[in-house]
Amino acid sequence: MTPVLRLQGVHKRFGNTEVIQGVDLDVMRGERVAIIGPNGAGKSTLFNLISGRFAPSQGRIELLGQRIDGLPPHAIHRLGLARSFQITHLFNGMTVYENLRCSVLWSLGHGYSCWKFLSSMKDANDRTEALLNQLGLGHKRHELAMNLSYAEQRALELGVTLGSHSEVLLLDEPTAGMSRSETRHFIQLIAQITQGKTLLMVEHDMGVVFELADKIAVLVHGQVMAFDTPSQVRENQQVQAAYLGALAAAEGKHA
Amino acid sequence: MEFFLISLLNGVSYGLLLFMLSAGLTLIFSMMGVLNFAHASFYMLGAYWGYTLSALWGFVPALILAPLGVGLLGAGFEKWFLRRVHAHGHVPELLITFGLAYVVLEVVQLLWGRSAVPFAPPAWLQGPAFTLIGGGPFTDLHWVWGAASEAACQGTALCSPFPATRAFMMGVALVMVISLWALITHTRVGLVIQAALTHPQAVQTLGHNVPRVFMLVFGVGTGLAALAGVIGGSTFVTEPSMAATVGSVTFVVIVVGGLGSLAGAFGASLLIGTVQTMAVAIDLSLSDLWLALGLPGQASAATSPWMKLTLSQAAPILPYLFLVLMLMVRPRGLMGTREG
Amino acid sequence: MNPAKPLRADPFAVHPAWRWMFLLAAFMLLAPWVFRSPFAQAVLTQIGIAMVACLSYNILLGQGGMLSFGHAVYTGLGAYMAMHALQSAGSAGWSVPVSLIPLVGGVCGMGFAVVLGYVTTRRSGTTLAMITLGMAELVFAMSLMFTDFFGGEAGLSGNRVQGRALWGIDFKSQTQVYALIAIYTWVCVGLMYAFTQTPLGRLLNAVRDNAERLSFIGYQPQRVRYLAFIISGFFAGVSGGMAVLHFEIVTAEVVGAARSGAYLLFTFLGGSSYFAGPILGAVGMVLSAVLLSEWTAAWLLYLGVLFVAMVMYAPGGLASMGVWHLRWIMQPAASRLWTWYLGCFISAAVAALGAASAIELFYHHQLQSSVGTPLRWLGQSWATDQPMPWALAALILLLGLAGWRFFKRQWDKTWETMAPPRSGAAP
Repeated sequence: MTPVLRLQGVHKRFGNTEVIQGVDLDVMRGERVAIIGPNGAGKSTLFNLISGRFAPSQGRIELLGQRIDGLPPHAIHRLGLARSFQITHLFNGMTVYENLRCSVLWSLGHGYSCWKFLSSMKDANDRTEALLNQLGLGHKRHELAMNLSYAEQRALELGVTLGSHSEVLLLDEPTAGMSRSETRHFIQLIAQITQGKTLLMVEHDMGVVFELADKIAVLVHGQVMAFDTPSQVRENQQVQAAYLGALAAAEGKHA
Repeated sequence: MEFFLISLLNGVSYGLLLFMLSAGLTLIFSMMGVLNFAHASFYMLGAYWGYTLSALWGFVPALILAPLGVGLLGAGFEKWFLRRVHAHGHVPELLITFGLAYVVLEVVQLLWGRSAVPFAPPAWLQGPAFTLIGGGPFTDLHWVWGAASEAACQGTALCSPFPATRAFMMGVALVMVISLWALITHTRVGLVIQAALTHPQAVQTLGHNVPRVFMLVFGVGTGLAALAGVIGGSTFVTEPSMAATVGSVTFVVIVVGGLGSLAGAFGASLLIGTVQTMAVAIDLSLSDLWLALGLPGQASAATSPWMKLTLSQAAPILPYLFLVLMLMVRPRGLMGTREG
Repeated sequence: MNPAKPLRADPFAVHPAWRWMFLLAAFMLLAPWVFRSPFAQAVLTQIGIAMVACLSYNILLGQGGMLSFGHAVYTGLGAYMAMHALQSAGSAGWSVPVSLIPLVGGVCGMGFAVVLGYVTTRRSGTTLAMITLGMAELVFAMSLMFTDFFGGEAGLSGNRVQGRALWGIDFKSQTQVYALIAIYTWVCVGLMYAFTQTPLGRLLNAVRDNAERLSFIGYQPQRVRYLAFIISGFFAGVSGGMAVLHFEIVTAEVVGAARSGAYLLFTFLGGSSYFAGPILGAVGMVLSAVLLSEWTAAWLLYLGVLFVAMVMYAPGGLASMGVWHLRWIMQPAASRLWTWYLGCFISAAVAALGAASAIELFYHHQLQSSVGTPLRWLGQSWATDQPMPWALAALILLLGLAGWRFFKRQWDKTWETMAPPRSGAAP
C-alpha cells in the first residue's frame, strides 16, 4: 500500500530559523489525520510546504507516488491536492456562486477557455449547485463573498477547497474563530462532504480532533513527536508532557 | 581624456540629482506603500518656487525656503487627501497622485505660463568650477580652478570646463546623502524608517504614531524633490515639461535599484545618470562597429535604420531598456527585498 | 435554476446582454439621423473608437486589476500597422480591403501584446504598472527615433478612399465611415461582453481579487493575466485601426503618455467595476476633448480636479454613482429622501458654479488680462480686474458649500432612520 502523501526528511529554514526540523509522515488513502501542536510548532508552515506555497529547504514530498516538493501550487493542485486557509482567502469581489464555480473549473477540464459560455457549462454549474446545497449557502448564492458573515465565509472557504473533488485535502484550522455550536455543525459538514477522501487537518480544538480523526500527528518544534491513533497518542508520555492536560480535558468533555 | 572625465563627472552629478529625487520616492514608497506619481511635480514646484523666491530674496534663501514650502504642501496633501484614500488600497493612492500630477501641471502653467522661465543660477555659481586642460590623450593632464585663461586653451591644448552649477549639485546631493544616512542610522525616527523599509506592517503594529510619521516622511520626501528642483531648475531649464522628463527616469531608477532600497536607488541613480549622460556624447552606431570589426553583411549594416542609430540618438531610451531588461532578468531590482 | 441570470450583485451580468446590445444597435442606427451634420457624425465616430479602446483597457484595469500606464502602446502600434496596411493597399501586390483595416490593427495589436505582454504580466501590482510605464516611454522614445516606421514628426497619412468601391461604398462621406465604425464597435462591445461570461473572464476577476488563491485552485495567475493582456491588445489594435480610417493620419502622440493617461483617467471616471463604465468614460473622453476644450481653457484643470474628487469620494466612477442612485430611488421610503437629495444636488451645482467662475476668472486674468478684454462667461461680460466678479464667485461658492452641509446633514439623518439597505455590489 503506497501512501497517498509521503513526507521524508522535510526541513524548512527561514533565514536562520529552522521551522520544520525533519518531518517524516505517511498518510494512507482515506485516512483522516489531525495535526496538533502548540503555537509556533510549524503546522501552517507544514501545510504551506505540502501545498507548494513554499519549497522545502531539504527533503522530499510525494503525492500519489509523484514528487511534488518544489512544484508551484497550481501544479500540485492539478495532481490532486487542495487546501483551505486559516485566514479566509476568497475572491472577495465575486459572488458565492462564482467563487465556487471557479474552484470546479480546472478539475472539469475547462482550462483557460474563452470560447465557451459559463452558463452553458452544465457540468460546472451542476457541481457548483450541489456544493452550494451541501454547504447550505444556497440562499446566499448572489451575495458578494466580502459581505458574508464569518461562519459563512469559512463555509465558502471550505467549499472552494472542495470544489475540485481532490483526493487529498488539507484543511488549516477550518473552525478557527467559530463558536461551539458553529464548530459542531461545521465539523459534521466536513465529515459528510469529505467522505472517502484523505484529509489532513490542523486543529486546536481537541473535541473536534477526537471526533473526526483516525490518526493524530503531534507536531512540536518542527518535528513529529507522535503519529498514531488517538488513543495511543493520548497514552504517549512525551505528548502528555508537551501538552499537559489538554488531552485529559478533552477526554473529559468527550466522555 | 579630459573630455571623458568631465563627461563622467557630469554623469555623476546628474545621477546624484536623480538620487535626490529617488531617495524621497523610495522613502515614501517604503513607508506608505504608495508610489507617488506626482513626485516629479514637486520637483517642478521646487524649481518654480525657487525661481520666484530667488528673484525676490536671492538664491540661498530660495534654496532653503522653496523646499520647506513644498514640503509643507506635500505634508498637507498627505494629511487631507492621500489619507482619505488610504483605506481603499494602493491603486486609488497611486491614482490620486496621478491626478495631482495633472492638477499641478495645469496650475504651474497657469501661474507661470507655458514656456520656460529664465531661472538662472546666481553669479557665484556661474562659470566653471574648474577646468581640465590637456594637450591630447597622452600629454599630462592638469587642472585650474575656475576658467582657464585664453592663452592656455590655444593650439593643441583642449580645455574642458566643469560647470560650477554641476559641482554645487554634487555637493548638495552628497550633503543630503550623508545627512540622510546619519538620520536613518543614528536617530529613533531613522530606526523606524529602516524597519518600515522592509516590514511596514510590523512597524504599524508596533504602535508608532503612524499617521504623523507618514506626514513627516511625505513632507521630507517632497521637500527633497523640491530641493532637487531648485538646483536642477537653475542648472538645466525650468519649464512645464520638466516634471515629465525627469519623472519617468526616477521611476526607472527606483525599480532598477529595487523598490524599497535606498542603497539600490543610489547605485541605480549613478548608473543610469552616468550611462545616459555619457551616451549622449558618443556618436557611434552599431553599423560603425560592424564596419570597424569587418563583420559580414556590410552593405545592409550600413543602410539598416536601427543599425545606423547612434548611441547618442538612442540615449533617451537607455533607461527604459534598463528597466525592461532588469524586470525580465531580476524583478527585485539590484538590491530590492520587496517586489512591491 | 438558471445561474446565468443572477440579478443583483454581479456587476458584469446585470441584465440579459442581448437586450442591451439591441438597444445599442438601435441607438447607433438612429444616431446619424438625429445628428446629421458631418461634425456631429465625426464626434459619434470618435466615440465609437474610444469605446472600444476604453473597454479594452478595462479588461486590464477593472476586470483584471492590472493598472497599465501604457495602453496607448497597443492602440497606437495597432494604428501604425493599420496605416502601413492602408498605405500599401494603394500600391500593387497584396492589398487589404479598406473595410478590413481595423482587423489588421487588431491582429497587430494582439501580436505586440503577445511579445510585450509576456514580460509585462510576469509580475503584478505596482511592478506591472511600472513595466507598462517603462514600455510606454520606450515605445514613444523609439517613435521619434525610427522615422521610417513612425513617419517622424509629421507622422504617417493615408487615404481611405481607394480600391474598388463595393455597392457604392467608398468611405468618402463621414456617414459611411460612421457606419463602418459603428458596426465594428457593436461587434467589439458584444465580443468583449461575451468574454466576461466565459471561464477566462471569471478567472480574470479571480486573479484581480486573490491571485494566490487562484493558484491553489489549479490556475497560473500569470497565464490568466497574459491571456487577458493579449485579448485586450487585440481590441486595442482594432480601435487603433478604426482611428486610422477616421482620421487618415497617425502621429507619435497615439503612443504617447498623454494618450495612455487619458485612457486611464476616463475609464476610471466612467467606472472600472462595471462593464458599461468605460462606455460612459469614452463618451466623456471624446466630449471633453472636442467640446469642453473649446468652451474653456481650464478644461484640463477641471478634469484633474474631478479625477481627484472621484478617487476620493466615488472610486467606482460614474457607473457606480448611477447604480447608487438607482438603489436608493427604488427603496420603498425613497420619497422622504427626495427633498434632501434635490437640496444637495442644487447646492453642489451652485458650489460648482462658484468654483468654476473663480477658476475662469483666474484663467482669464492670467492669460488675457494684458489684452484687456473682459471674460465672457455665462452670457455676461466680466472685467477681471474689478473686485466685484471675484466677490460674487466667492459668495456663490460659499453659498453652495453651506447649502451642501445643511442638506447633507438632513439626508444623513433621514437615511439613518430608514431600514439599512440590502448589502449588494460594492462600487
